[in-house]
Amino acid sequence: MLPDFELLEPRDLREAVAILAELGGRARPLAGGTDLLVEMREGRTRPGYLVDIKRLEELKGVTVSDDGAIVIGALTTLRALERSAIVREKLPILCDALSQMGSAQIRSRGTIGGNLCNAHASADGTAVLLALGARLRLRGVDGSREIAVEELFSGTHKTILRAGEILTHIHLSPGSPGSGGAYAKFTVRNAMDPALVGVGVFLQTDGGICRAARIALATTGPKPQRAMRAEEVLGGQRLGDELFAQAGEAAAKEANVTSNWRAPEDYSRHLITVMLPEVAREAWKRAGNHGRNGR
Amino acid sequence: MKEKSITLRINGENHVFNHVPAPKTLVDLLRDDAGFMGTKEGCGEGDCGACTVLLDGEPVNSCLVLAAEADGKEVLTVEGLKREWELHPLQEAFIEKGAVQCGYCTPGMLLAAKALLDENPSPTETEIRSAIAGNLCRCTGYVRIVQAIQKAAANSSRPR
Repeated sequence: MLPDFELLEPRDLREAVAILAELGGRARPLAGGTDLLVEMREGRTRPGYLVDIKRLEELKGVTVSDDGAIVIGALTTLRALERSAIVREKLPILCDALSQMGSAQIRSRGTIGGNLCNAHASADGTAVLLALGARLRLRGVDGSREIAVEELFSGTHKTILRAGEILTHIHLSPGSPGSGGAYAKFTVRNAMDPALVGVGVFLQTDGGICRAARIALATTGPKPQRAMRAEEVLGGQRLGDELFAQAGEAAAKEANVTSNWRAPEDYSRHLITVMLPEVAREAWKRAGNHGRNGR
Repeated sequence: MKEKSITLRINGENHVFNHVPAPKTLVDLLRDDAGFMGTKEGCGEGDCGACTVLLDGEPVNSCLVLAAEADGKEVLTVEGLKREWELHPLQEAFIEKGAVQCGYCTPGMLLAAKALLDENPSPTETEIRSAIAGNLCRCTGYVRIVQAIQKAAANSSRPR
């Protein structure tokens, strides 16, 4: 049984933002509801108002501009992303994550924006967007602003969104030739589990040299994180298995990981040393194919 | 609003529900107000899939959909699978393959399977297992459920 609340159904973005700003902490936006309604059922949050934002069609869909930049509406369901020809062709790293997020039923409702704004450290979508260097467009009563995806998270389950501010779009730069990314997640069960450890790697390569690397970890928290030392290990170096292993060691050492009921700390760190090289190899392979598959 | 009047098209028929409280979930509306008891609530948190229905053709956990959110939409429950006296090929296959024990997961399984076959009429075993990953079964060990879906896929001569 859900606790009592009032449901509001704004017809457009301006109305939604105004309502959320006015109600402040008494209201939560309702997108897919696959996290929010569970939280409410468990008594972890008791908003007096839910603001159903699903009528905001302008926040749905995936588009690509002439220069190759990709814009994803925050209210695009994970299922719609799985089916998007643009995502399948241009964002295989996101496809890696989507297929392992929840279930078909969850993906029919859950949105990419909701996944981000819940700010779970183990969110696969978040790790992928970190690896992709996404920028986020936020809209509030005073207008819009844009932030880097890293800036969104202020702590476990917390974002810097102000009252009345919602995430509207996710912006991804066009992939340059020689770039590629991959994501892998380790779970106990084959499906439905949040990541014990998730690793996302995005490489910009040039003739076997790593020009730039972004490595994102989905772990026990407190925030989704980049593995900066591991990125430095890769930067400017000739790519290869030995280098990937070094990056894995660096990431395992620097990762903000604690022991919890799901895994002891040393196991999580060990997983990173195993997974990072595998994911990096796949990202490199895709980077090599970039430009050959019509990107 | 605290409550709303909603219209749902359930199994091909329009239903109007008045004074639906905002917190009422779709699974509760289907069972308590619409009389479709086939849909079960197993966990109430989107983990078990027993409450799976098709909402505008997409599989959803009806325990995580507010009835109000379903206003104006089409819902297919397990009761809507059969035609007159003829069972859906999936239902026939589940019976033939012995894929039903206690039956509690079965409505959700059937609808998740239908959603799969509607989109992918010839799924691999991996694709089948992935499509029902959100449906837990405590009785069968899944093997016969997967076989039943394979059989239905092989037998289906027309989309249902």
